[in-house]
Amino acid sequence: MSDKIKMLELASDKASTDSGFIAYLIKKYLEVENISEKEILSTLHCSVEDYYKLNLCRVPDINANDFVARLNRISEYTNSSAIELNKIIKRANSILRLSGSDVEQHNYLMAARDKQKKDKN
Amino acid sequence: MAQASPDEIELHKLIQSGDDLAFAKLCDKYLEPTIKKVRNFNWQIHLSDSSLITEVVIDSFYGYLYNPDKFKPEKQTLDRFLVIDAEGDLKNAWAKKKRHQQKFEVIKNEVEFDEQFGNSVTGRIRNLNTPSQIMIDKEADGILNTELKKYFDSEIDIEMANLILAKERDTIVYAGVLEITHLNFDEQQKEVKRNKDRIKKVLHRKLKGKQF
Repeated sequence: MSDKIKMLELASDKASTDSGFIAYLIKKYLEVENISEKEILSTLHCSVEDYYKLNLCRVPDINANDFVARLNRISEYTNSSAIELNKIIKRANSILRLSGSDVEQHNYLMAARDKQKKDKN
Repeated sequence: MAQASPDEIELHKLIQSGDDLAFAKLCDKYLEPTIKKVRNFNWQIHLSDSSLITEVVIDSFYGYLYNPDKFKPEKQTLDRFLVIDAEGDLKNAWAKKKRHQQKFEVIKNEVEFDEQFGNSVTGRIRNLNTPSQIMIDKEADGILNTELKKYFDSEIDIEMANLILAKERDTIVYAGVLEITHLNFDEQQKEVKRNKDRIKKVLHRKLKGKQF
């Protein structure tokens, strides 16, 4: 492994503690799905260096109108599969939402109930 | 005075706007060269602790990400700013590490030091009441207590060991810890001495030459 890759790896380790980075989502995804970084690298079809660069990208908001455009930009920059990246980001977001704090879960359930009521009316 | 290049300004603007790729681009282009430059300028630190410079440079990159306005493109190049910023942080981290090491050096030496020469740990070290020194002291106390718990089973022995390391000389203080204040003074002295000798032997054996 080159010096540069080692340094990018260390920088992404730190990014994995900040929920604003893709590194954070990937770490959660790996933990819950119980898969290795090697496996995810093969899924994303990217090099080790690109994988760490991907980790250092900010997480695009899945609810934003420009989500797909941002996802494609990240995927293009990191030479990774946009389809797989999309799956990982959405899955990790669901994991985080379900494992969130009581308040977050409560708000989520309240929103779901509100939506149900609206649909009935 | 050199100003930032158009490419650097563009990257800086991306960082300021919270662009998704900005930090990855910054690290891709500048992390390795910055670490190498800081290593070259501070090779003595690098020889002493090979990971410190990398950690500090990475932290300073995050510092710039979270507070991009500290870089003034009209005053310097991004390349130079990143090196100077990291070197400032390195200087602080190195000073902190040195103070930490120094504290344990003193504790180590105190154990080997004959009691009659005085100079308590608290007197020599804790006269610096700066917030960072207080933090370091607290952390050091925690580490020391964890270490002492490995060698002594009872809380009384740990407290006695702490007093010995702090060069406490008052028999009454030790008698209080041993809960023998009801005895007459001669008996207290005898009992305190017996316990101190026992604990000092363990300290001498276990902590001599120890690096925390």
